[in-house]
Amino acid sequence: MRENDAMTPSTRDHATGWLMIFPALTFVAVFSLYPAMDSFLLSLYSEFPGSERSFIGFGNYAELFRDPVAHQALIVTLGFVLLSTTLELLLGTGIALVIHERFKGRGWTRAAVLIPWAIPTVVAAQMWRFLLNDQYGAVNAILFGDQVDAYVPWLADPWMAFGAIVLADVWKTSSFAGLLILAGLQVIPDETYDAARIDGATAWQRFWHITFPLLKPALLTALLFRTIDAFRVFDLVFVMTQGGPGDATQVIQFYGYKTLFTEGRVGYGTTISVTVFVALAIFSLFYVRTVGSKLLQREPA
Amino acid sequence: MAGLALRHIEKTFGRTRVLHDVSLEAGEGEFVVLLGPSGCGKSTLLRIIAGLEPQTHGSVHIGGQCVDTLPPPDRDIAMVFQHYALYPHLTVRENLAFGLKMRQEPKPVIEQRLAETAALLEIHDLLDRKPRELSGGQQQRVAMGRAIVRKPQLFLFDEPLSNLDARLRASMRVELKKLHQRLGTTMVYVTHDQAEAMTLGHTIAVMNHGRIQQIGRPDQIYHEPGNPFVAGFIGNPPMNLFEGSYRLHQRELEFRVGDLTLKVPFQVHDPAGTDAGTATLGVRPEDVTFDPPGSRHVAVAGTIDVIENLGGDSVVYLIVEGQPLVTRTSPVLRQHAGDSVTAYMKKIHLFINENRVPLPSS
Repeated sequence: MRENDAMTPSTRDHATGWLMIFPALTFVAVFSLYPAMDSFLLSLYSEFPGSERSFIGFGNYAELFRDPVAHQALIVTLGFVLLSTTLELLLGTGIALVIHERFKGRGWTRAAVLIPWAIPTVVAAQMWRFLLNDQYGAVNAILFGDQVDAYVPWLADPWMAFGAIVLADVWKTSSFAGLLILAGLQVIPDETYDAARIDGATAWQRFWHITFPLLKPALLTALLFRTIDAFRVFDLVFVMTQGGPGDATQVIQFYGYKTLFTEGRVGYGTTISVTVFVALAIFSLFYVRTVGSKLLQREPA
Repeated sequence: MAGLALRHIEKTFGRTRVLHDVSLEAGEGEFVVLLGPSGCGKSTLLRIIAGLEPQTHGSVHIGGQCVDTLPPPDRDIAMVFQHYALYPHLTVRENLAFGLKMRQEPKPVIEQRLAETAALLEIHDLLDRKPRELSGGQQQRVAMGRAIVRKPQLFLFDEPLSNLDARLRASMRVELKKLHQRLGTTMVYVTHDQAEAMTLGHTIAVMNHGRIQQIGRPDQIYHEPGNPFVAGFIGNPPMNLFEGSYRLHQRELEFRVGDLTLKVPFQVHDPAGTDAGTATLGVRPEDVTFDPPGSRHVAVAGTIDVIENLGGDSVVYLIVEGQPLVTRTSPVLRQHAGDSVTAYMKKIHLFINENRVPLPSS
């Protein structure tokens, strides 16, 4: 048999291939594709539980476009994304630089740094709610001790509640960003730093001219993960503030949840979810096309 | 005035001592090669000279000045790394200029140095490319350019040619030699490749297990190896070395290894003073011939095991009384494997207690 014959997949090979991916395809179709499609269909109806569903086309989307509460929720979400992602990347870079160095107990430090990330978000959120409690919270106790009069109801103030959500997220996920950045640091060969030292670069110049540019791919990857993740934030808000006080911490996903489950507006609530989904899909595609393709061009080190 | 002087350098990593009392001098403009197998400490020594690694004891002098307390950039050195260590995100031009920029040299100076270096290494066409767009040989040139452009007092090379294919390595070796002739700067060159050491070095320091085994000119290292390690490390194919026992007689030395007895017709002064003991006897493959030489020699009878025809000459593997003996002869031998032959050892090296015992030259 000639080698080419072996290389060309026959019809039988195709059939085998389809058979092989059938289980995975089924899984994706039943648990991802179908719900997504159904949600989209659902968003085209005006529906309350117990009432008759009526098809209203893109009516829900038109309403969302005009909804001042949704606008407010979007602003809160974007503020949260911007602030938490920035802080997490900065802090993550710091963490990565520290645990990249050789020192005694580095293994333990690396493990310890990851603990917040390993804790389930709901548990972490609950913990922060306790810590920030206005009567028995540890934060008040540490800051003011016996002066009970001075205790601050942290989560009752709009700005501080927002800050608390950001703080909880930064505390929990900086180490994850750090881990991604550490992977990027480890790819840079030691020889490159030796060369820069001999070339006369100071520690700061080595960071700015060598580490930072070579770390860009890792930073962009971390940025993507954190942006998408932050945009979907729900559990922190659900546990810590329920979107309050007022609408101060009502992020878009929480607004969707509230509309759907509390107010029972199934069609409109679904519309919010679908909109977030589409926005993130577009963002991800854009990212993969631009930044991602540049990353792939990089030669393997 | 010494270009470089190392005085009693010691280095320990934790409990492991990797360098033992290393002392070495290189004159102004001299090309010194540190030669040894991997793990012998030669690269560590180079990093100590560069200031990338602090020594545990001893001192480093460059251009007559003690540099022990100076960081790498203040030692007026440049280094070429094994994996080139080019900055991957910078163009060739930026790579070359990096060191000068860090030192805040004025722009016209940088431009001029860049032009000189590019001309010297013929890398004009590459200046605007990124390192990943270059071949291995081109990256190597740029790495050298980055060292040259700074006009340092001392060049350090850490196995710079080991990542190139054999043909390119040979041509870069010649270029490197030319480069040294033109620049006339002191160079320290680390390699495990004896051909590079022999062709490039004015002085070779052979290292093993963190100690300098021998320092000398290439021909000294080749003709008068100081101990069995140096004898076996230099030469291709390597020197035949036999570990056996010796006994001194009136006008000859009798050497036994297994069933083989060699009578070496030299009067030898035994440094051990015992007239008998264990010794290492060595003979280079190129010092074994099949025609009786005119001078004093040792003849052995053996059979041919394998012949490797290299074109100009051949490497013949003999079995002599159960002992393997490799010879390199020119022109190509007429005999075949299995034939019985008489071989003549022209020059013999003798080592007692790991030290060379001089034999009167034949």
